[in-house]
Amino acid sequence: MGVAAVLSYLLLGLAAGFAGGLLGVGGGFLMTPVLILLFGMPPHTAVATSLFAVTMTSMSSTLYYARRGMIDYRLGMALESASVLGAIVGAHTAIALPGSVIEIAFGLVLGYASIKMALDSGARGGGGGVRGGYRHLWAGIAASFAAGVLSGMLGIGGGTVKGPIMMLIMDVPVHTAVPTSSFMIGLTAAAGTIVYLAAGYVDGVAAALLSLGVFAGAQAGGRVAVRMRPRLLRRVFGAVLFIAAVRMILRGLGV
Amino acid sequence: MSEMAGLYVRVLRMCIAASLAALATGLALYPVDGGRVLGAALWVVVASPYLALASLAVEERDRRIRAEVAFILLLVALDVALSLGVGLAGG
Repeated sequence: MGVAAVLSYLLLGLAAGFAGGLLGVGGGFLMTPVLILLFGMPPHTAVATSLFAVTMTSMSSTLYYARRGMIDYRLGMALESASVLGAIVGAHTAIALPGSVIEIAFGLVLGYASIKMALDSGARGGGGGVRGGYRHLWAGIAASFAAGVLSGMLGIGGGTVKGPIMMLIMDVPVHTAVPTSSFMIGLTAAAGTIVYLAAGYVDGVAAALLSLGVFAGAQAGGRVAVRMRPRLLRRVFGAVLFIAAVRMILRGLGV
Repeated sequence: MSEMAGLYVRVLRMCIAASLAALATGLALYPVDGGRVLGAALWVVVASPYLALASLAVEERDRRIRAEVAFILLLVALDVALSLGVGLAGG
């Protein structure tokens, strides 16, 4: 691998980590399409490599929240068994599917996430749930399984799904949902990554470079996010991701 | 429960440091060893969240949470065994 490629992976990691930290999303939504569309990586390898980097990012953000006592471990553990199982199922399913199906599925989920991001003001509301007593636990567990499947199949952390599950279905307050979702994402992503690692789909050098870049970028993004409300940035980023979603779907359809 | 997560935070911090060091070492040695150390470093990273989770179970007194942690660790152990088994069977 040449110096230019090394720098490209590091820069992609930095950008994904920075955007993730700034906008409160996982870097997987940026890394997977860029790895496929710009780096020419096969879909399965891109998903596996992205999922590996997401594991690293999540550990970093989890440490931030855990040190401040913001994670509800009781809630996280109640949902995470289903999510881990879903990630394992999702990764095995993805390996069995052709790359074009992965691209189309990713494009559809990315399209939804990009529209949600562009329309979301960034000022989140919160449920009125009391810590430790949550509504619709079984619905939350079922939805967590689905989020795990998406994570394992598409190489994303699933925070875009897990956060809303807790807030909208279970009425968990936002200041508990986001840290707890972050705690869960690392465990879910690692479960899916194991499947891909054992099957030889993870590009080791790219994964390591992305992880180092993402780690540094997430720290910087998180610090900047504290000082600003990036509504315009969310819209611009949402529009860019929407274009990437359309390109992924067209690529999957062979257009 | 969050106030009880001191051991978890310490173990997670150590795991992150070990993961970063392992990845950096693996990358540095890649031209020499062809990626053997890097390959091991990747497994260090994916094992880290579960090592930290195990520490959470150690300091947690709630039996239900300990049971859920044990269930997840069992799932992941099965995942590793199944994935490596399928990988070996596939050649």
